[in-house]
Formats: sequence, C-alpha cells, structure tokens
Amino acid sequence: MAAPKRKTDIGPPHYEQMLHPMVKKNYGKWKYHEKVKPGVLMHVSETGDKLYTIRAASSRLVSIEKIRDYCNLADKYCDGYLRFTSRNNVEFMTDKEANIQPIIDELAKMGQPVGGTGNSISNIVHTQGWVHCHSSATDASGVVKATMDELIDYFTSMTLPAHLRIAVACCLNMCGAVHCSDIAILGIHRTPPTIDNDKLANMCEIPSTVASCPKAAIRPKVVAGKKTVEVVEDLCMYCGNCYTVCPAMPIANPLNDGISIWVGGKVSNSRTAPMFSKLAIPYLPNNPPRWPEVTSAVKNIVETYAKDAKKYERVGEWIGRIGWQKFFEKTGLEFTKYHIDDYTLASSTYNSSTHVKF
Amino acid sequence: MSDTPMIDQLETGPWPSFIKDIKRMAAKNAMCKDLLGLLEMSYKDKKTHWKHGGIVGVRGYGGGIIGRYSDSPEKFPNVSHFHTVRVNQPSAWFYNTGALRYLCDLWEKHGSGLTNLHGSTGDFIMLGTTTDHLEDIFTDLSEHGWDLGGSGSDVRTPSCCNGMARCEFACYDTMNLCYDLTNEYQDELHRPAFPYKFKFKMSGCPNDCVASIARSDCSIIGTWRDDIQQDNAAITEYAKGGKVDIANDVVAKCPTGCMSWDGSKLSIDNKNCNRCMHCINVMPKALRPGKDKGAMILLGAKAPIVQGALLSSVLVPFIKMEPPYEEFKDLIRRIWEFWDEHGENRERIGEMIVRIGKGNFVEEVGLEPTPAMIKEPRSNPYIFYEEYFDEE
Amino acid sequence: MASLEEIKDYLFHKVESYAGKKQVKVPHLTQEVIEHFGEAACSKKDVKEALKELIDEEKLVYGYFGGTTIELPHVEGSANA
Ligand code: HEM
Ligand code: HEM
Ligand code: SF4
Ligand code: SF4
Ligand code: SF4
Ligand code: SF4
Repeated sequence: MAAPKRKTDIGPPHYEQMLHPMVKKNYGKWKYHEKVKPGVLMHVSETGDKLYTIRAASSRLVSIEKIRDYCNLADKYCDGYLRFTSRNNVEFMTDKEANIQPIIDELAKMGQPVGGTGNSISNIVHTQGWVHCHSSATDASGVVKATMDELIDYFTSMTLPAHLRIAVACCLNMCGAVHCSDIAILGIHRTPPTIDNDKLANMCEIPSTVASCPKAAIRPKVVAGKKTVEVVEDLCMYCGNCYTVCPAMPIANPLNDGISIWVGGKVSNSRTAPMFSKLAIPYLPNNPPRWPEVTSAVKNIVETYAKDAKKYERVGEWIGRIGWQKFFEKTGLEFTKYHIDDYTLASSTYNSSTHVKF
Repeated sequence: MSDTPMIDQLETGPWPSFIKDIKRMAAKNAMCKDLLGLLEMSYKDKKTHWKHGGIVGVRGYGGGIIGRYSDSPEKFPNVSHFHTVRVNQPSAWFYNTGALRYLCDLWEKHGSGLTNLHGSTGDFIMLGTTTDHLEDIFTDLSEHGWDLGGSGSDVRTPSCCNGMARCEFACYDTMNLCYDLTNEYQDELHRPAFPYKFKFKMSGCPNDCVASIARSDCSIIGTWRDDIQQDNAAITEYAKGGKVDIANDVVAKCPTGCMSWDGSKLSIDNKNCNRCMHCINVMPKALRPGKDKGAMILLGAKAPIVQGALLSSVLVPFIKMEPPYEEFKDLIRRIWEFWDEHGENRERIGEMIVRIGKGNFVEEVGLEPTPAMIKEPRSNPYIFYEEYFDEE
Repeated sequence: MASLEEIKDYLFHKVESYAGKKQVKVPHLTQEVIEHFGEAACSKKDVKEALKELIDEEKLVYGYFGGTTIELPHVEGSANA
C-alpha cells in the first residue's frame, strides 16, 4: 500500500500568523480597556495605540457560507483578521474608529446582533442535541435560538446588575459544562432504557453492555432462549451510557424526556468563589420548536433577578444574600421534594440552623 | 407546503438562526438537505435519531474523529454516516481570513459544509462526513499546517483565553503556553493511553474567561504575588466623574475588607487581598494586577457523570510561567505517572484525588501540603495516622 | 530485554484473546505486558512503541467504549444495524 503523503503530530498553526498587526505590536502591552457601548470594546495600549473590538452574536452551528461572510467583512474592515470567543461569539477588531459603525451596520444586514459585553447576557454555551448526538434528551441549538430570541434585549444592552451567563446541555454528560452557569438549561432523561431483546441478542456483546453501566444496573438475562440483559430500574440514573455501547437499548423517551433549570453558578473569582448551579425547576416538558415553557421560565428568573439584585451581584450572589426561601418566593417557583438533595453528601445541603425568614 | 414546518419556525426572530444557515448550505449539499429532514423528524418525535459510532479515525490516531450514524438510513441516506472531525484550533481562536477560507474550501470538498465554531473543548468542529473522506481530509490538513484535536482517553485539545493579545489583566502568556503544551503533548493527544480524558484550560487571570476551573482537569489561572498596581490620578478621575462610587461599588464589595477610601485616597492592604479581581474589573484604568506575575495550578474539574461534578482545587498556589515551562511540565509528568499507575478505568483525575485523599496525592507528586489547598481542615476525627509511637 | 517484535506479538495476542469478551484499555494492557516480560525486560515506553507500530500497521485499531479501547479491526456495529 502506497502511503499517502501525510505528516502527523504537527499541532495547530502558530497563533502569531493569526494576529492583526496591531494586536501583534501591542501583545502584552495593553494598559486598560473601556466599553464604548454594548458590544464595542476599546483597548488602549501603553504605546498609545487603540484597538476597537466589535462582538457579534453567532449561532455556533455555522455553515462555511456564513464563515465566508465573516471573512469578507474582516477583509473589508479588519485587514483580514477576526476571532471567536469562548462563548462562540465572533469578534471583529480594527484600529480605525471610523470602521465601527460600518461593521455594525453590515452585521445587522447579516442578521448578527452586536452585544454580549459587560453586564449583559452573552451567547449561550451549548452542545449538539438532536442535530448530532445520540444521548440527547432535547435539542440544544433550537433551545438556544428560542431563548435568545426572548432575551435579545439583554444581549444588546448592559443594564443587568452583573454578567449573566446561560448554558444549555442536552443530557447529563454536559458537554457544555453547564454546571457553573448563572442559569443552566439541562436536558434530562427520566426513564431507564428500553430493551429490544431480539435486536440486542444479535447486535450487542453482553459483557460489554453489562460493563458499560456506571451504576452496575445491567445484568445478563436469558429471554425465550436468547441471551440479553435486564436493567435494575432502582439503580439506573438514566445516563445513557448503555445506549452508547448497545444500540438496542435506546434511552430516549419522548413522553418523559424534558428539561430542568438550574441557577446561581459562576466561574469567575470576582468577589465570591466559583460555585455550582443549583436546581430551580426539576422538569419542564420538551415542547419544540420553541420551548415556550422553558423560555418563559428563564425569562422570569432573569427579570426577577434584574429587579431585585444589587449592583455587581451575580445570580448566585443575589440568592446568597436573600436566601433560597426568598428566591422561591420572589420567582414564584414551586419547591418540591426533588429540590432536596439525596445523593452523596446531601446532608451538607440541609439547613442546620435556626436562620429562617417569615 | 414545506417539508420541515417545525424547524422552519426557528428561522424568524432576532437571534442568528442555525436553521437558515443549514438551509443555505442545503442548496448545494445533499447531506444538509437530509439533515434538515432528520432534524424535523426529531422535532416531531421529540427524540434523537442518532446512534453512536465507535471506531472511525485516521491511520495511527486514536482521537480527533467521532463516528456518528443515523437510525433512519433509508429515509435520509445522505446522513446515514455523519462523522465529526475535530480540528485543533489556533490559540484563543484568532484567525486570518486566508486560514479560515482554506478550512471552508476543504470542508466544502469533503463534508457537509457545516461547522461548530467552536466545540466546548475548543476545536474547530467539522460536522458531518463519511469514512472514505477521512484520510483525504487529514492529508490535506497536515499539508496545510493543521492537525486534529483530541477525543477519547487522551489529552484533549487545550484551549485558552485571549490573554496578552488583547487583555491587560493577563498574568502570563496564555496563548503561548497553550501552543507550547499542545505541541509538547502531541503524542498524548493523538494516541489515547490514559485511564480517561485529560483537559487543560488556561485563563490569564482569576476572571477565568474560559471557565477552566469548571471545565478542565488541569486549570492554569494567572495571578500575582506582589501589590496591585495603583494609578492614583486615574482613581481620582473615576471618583470625580461620579463614574464609580468607590465607597459602595468598590470598597464595600471587596470580599476581604482589605480596602479603605477616605474620600480622596484609596488604600489596599495587599497582604490580605485574595486576588478576586473585583476592584480591578470595576476600575481597569486605575488598578492592575501586580508585577510579580505567574499562575496558579488547580486540578480536578469535571461534569457530574458519575460521582457528581467537581471544581478544580488548588495544587500549586503560585508558579512562574515562562517558556520553556520546565517546572510545570515536570509537575505534569509526575501527576500523569501517578494517575497512570493508580487511576481506575474511566476515572478522571479529580475523582482519583477524592478516592485516595488529596493529602496523599499531594505527597505522592512531591508537594508540601499548605492551607491554600483547602477551604477548611477536616471536621471528622477519622485520621489515618501513618506514624505513632510503639512501647519500647 | 524483550525485543520490539516479541512485545508486539504478545500485545497482539492479548488483544486477540479479549476480543468479544472484554473491552481493554491501554493502561490495563500496558500493565499486563510489563508483568509478562518483567519490568527489567520491558518498560512502559517499549509497550507504547509496540502499540504505536501495531496501530500504524493497522493490525490493531482504537475503539471507544466509555474511554478509548484497543481492538482488532472490524466493521462498526451501528454502521450496519
Ligand atoms: C472587566 C474585566 C474583564 C475583561 C477585560 C475581560 C475580558 C474578556 C475577554 C477579552 C473575553 C473574550 C475571551 C476569549 O474568548 O478568549 C472575555 C470573555 C468572557 N469573560 Fe471576561 N473579562 C473581564 C471580566 C470578566 C468577569 C468579571 C467575568 C465573570 C464574571 C468574565 C467572564 C467572561 C465570560 C463568561 C466570557 C465569555 C464571553 C463571551 O464570549 O461573550 N469576564 N472576557
Ligand atoms: C456521543 C455523543 C457526544 C457528542 C456528540 C459529544 C459532542 C461533544 C463535542 C462536539 C464537544 C466539544 C468538543 C471539542 O471542542 O473538541 C464535547 C465536549 C464535551 N463532552 Fe461530549 N459528546 C458526546 C458524548 C459525551 C460523553 C459520553 C461525555 C461524558 C462522559 C461527554 C462529556 C463532554 C464534556 C464534559 C465536554 C466539554 C468539555 C469542556 O467544557 O471543555 N460527552 N462533546
Ligand atoms: S450533552 Fe449529552 S446529549 Fe448533548 S452533546 Fe453532550 S453527550 Fe450529547
Ligand atoms: S442509562 Fe446509565 S445507569 Fe441506566 S442502565 Fe444505562 S448505563 Fe446504567
Ligand atoms: S481570563 Fe483574565 S486575562 Fe484572560 S481574557 Fe479574561 S480577564 Fe483577560
Ligand atoms: S482584588 Fe478583590 S480582594 Fe483584592 S483588593 Fe480588590 S476587591 Fe479586594
């Protein structure tokens, strides 16, 4: 076999060739920045140079046609350079103040709102969902689109008490690492996998299937002379690992899959330490294409927070000050037994004090 | 009537529409047309129509390609095989348009033309191709200076914030470290040999814009040891303009109570500052991190599956971060050796540390225990003493 | 010292013996190979090199099973099902 010409282990291209000349010149020399207006930043260097950044929303799932549009814009105004942010926004950098408005105007024509800076709701970090994953309990891109359509005014302004970060993951695997977000939207399965005994016997290796379950809930079984498996339902936590290994054990269940909402996480160390998001709503139905129950629940939390939090308080800090009792009261969300932790270390979440508000 | 009435409803509204984008591509790519059909079916059935695919890849590599198959090959033959290619992104996602156009042209030739910019680990994700294209994609990429990212039980593609390229808070050169580590660990990235995945993420300061503390096994977060740099004239300007209420918005919010403001002068007791960044974030023109800069190494973050989510916790409170990063790499080598030997199958490093005890782990990798590593000492009396006295 | 060919041989037969029974991962295989030859005769690096060659020759392939596994080449199940 003639080996094709190929090199291995060369790593990514060097970043220097990707930097705008002004960025390269002032690398490590930035002195301060200002938020000129929502979506526009000005970075000032010790050399006196000024760099303007225009941050625009992007859908993360983008076609090469859209990327080429971005490139055209960058060629026209940004000397052929651009970047993407950790939250999947696209950024255009220019050293000419006069370019700001034309860039914003062209982005508007392309349908890309400008914003996501400062005390705003930036783009929603998310996962693959029904577009591309076998584990998904819901779609991701669609939920994001529906939610951001509702919250757009918070993206294009900077009027919130602090940053508000939303993330979506379509199952417990949480590829988007949603567990430290101000508001997390998490797809959930609520039922064990169903087992197609005929298919399973043909398609799946029993030992591998048994071994795939992190909770040891799967046991070998013989049904009508066929070697298959059974699931001990009490042990199952609906993680879908078994389906990854054995296509005859689908975890998806249209009647029961849905979405849960979590609040109060953060990753920055600003003022308070990073924290996990906590359960606010255990279950909302999957209602595509626009998930009205989910978007209105998120909007309610955002609005309650916006009204009640003090300046610089992230959602978690706000709840820390007012307490969970008040959080449920002010948002009008129902408190259920599912909110009370029953996993390992649950007792550390009980209220072992007399601090109660009436 | 349209074949896809449900997803069509996601074309309206102010937020950019991924459906519009897929449709745009569908005009010239049959895969995208079938993807729309399959997605519509999911929206109608409220369930996924994908199956997992295990082994597809390019010769010699154990990572970088994720196999994916649909469960409806008869109805939508063009997406029956729809694999993902993870292309290692340049540091902090900066591109020149030539580089991006090259990737677009390649993907037009060999795949669906759909991408994720970017995956949550950081890669340039090419969404949807078939096995017969994989070797060609890889050969073409490598000829043009690109390589694949990680997947499986390997070093996952490292990612970083834009650091010194465009942020005055950066306490070390995140983009350089990211590039350097990615190259240093090419073998570990392409040939999975760990108990499970291992992620590096680097943020230039405690604002942690890439969420490294929540999303990476090894979080490298910039910090400083000396005093916050203070420009008193700029402070006065913030105060005078009424732009910032220094007493309420800065001093009162300082979590350590280490600041005071007498109406004209701001004093910081730097020995008691915990480098939270709040005051610096509020007055970036007046306050900056100190000059003795470096990074903190934290270990162990992961998403909840199986034992619950973990945040990274402090391993090394301060380390200088300058090329060639020998001290850091040496530490990583010791950590991996220990993990290799003691990590159980599918156990992330954070889980292993919890299982064997952080105190033991710290000792095993050759570090001294310090109070910076913990929130509080133990409150239970179940100490396993390793030394005690025997009656002579 | 065990030769590279000997290590490759043993490694290959180990994987073959697991086929259809157990999903094996690299750390586990490495340990088994070293135990077989003895630490003096075979290091982690040797096993790594042997595995790399077997993979490059496409005698063994990577698989995925809640983490990366090493398998004999075969057609992916869910591709056809
Ligand atoms: C005022 C000081 C700050 C500056 C100069 C700053 C700078 C930046 C920059 C340059 C980015 C783009 C990063 C990238 O994609 O590599 C970014 C993104 C981000 N930062 Fe910060 N940051 C600041 C404060 C904070 C704080 C206090 C937080 C958290 C409370 C934070 C959270 C984030 C998040 C979540 C992103 C992703 C945003 C997006 O892509 O829209 N940042 N920041
Ligand atoms: C089989 C369906 C899956 C799909 C389609 C999928 C897809 C992805 C993608 C595209 C990324 C971004 C990767 C990158 O940027 O290179 C990602 C990251 C991630 N995946 Fe998955 N994944 C799947 C399964 C899993 C499983 C089984 C787990 C848990 C064990 C998992 C946990 C994660 C986590 C935690 C991240 C994010 C890491 C970070 O924040 O950097 N995924 N996934
Ligand atoms: S979060 Fe779950 S469903 Fe979503 S992409 Fe990741 S593994 Fe798939
Ligand atoms: S869904 Fe997860 S916990 Fe339930 S049986 Fe499958 S692998 Fe086990
Ligand atoms: S983590 Fe710090 S240094 Fe990096 S971009 Fe964010 S604020 Fe700047
Ligand atoms: S960085 Fe945080 S702790 Fe330090 S002085 Fe500023 S507000 Fe106080």
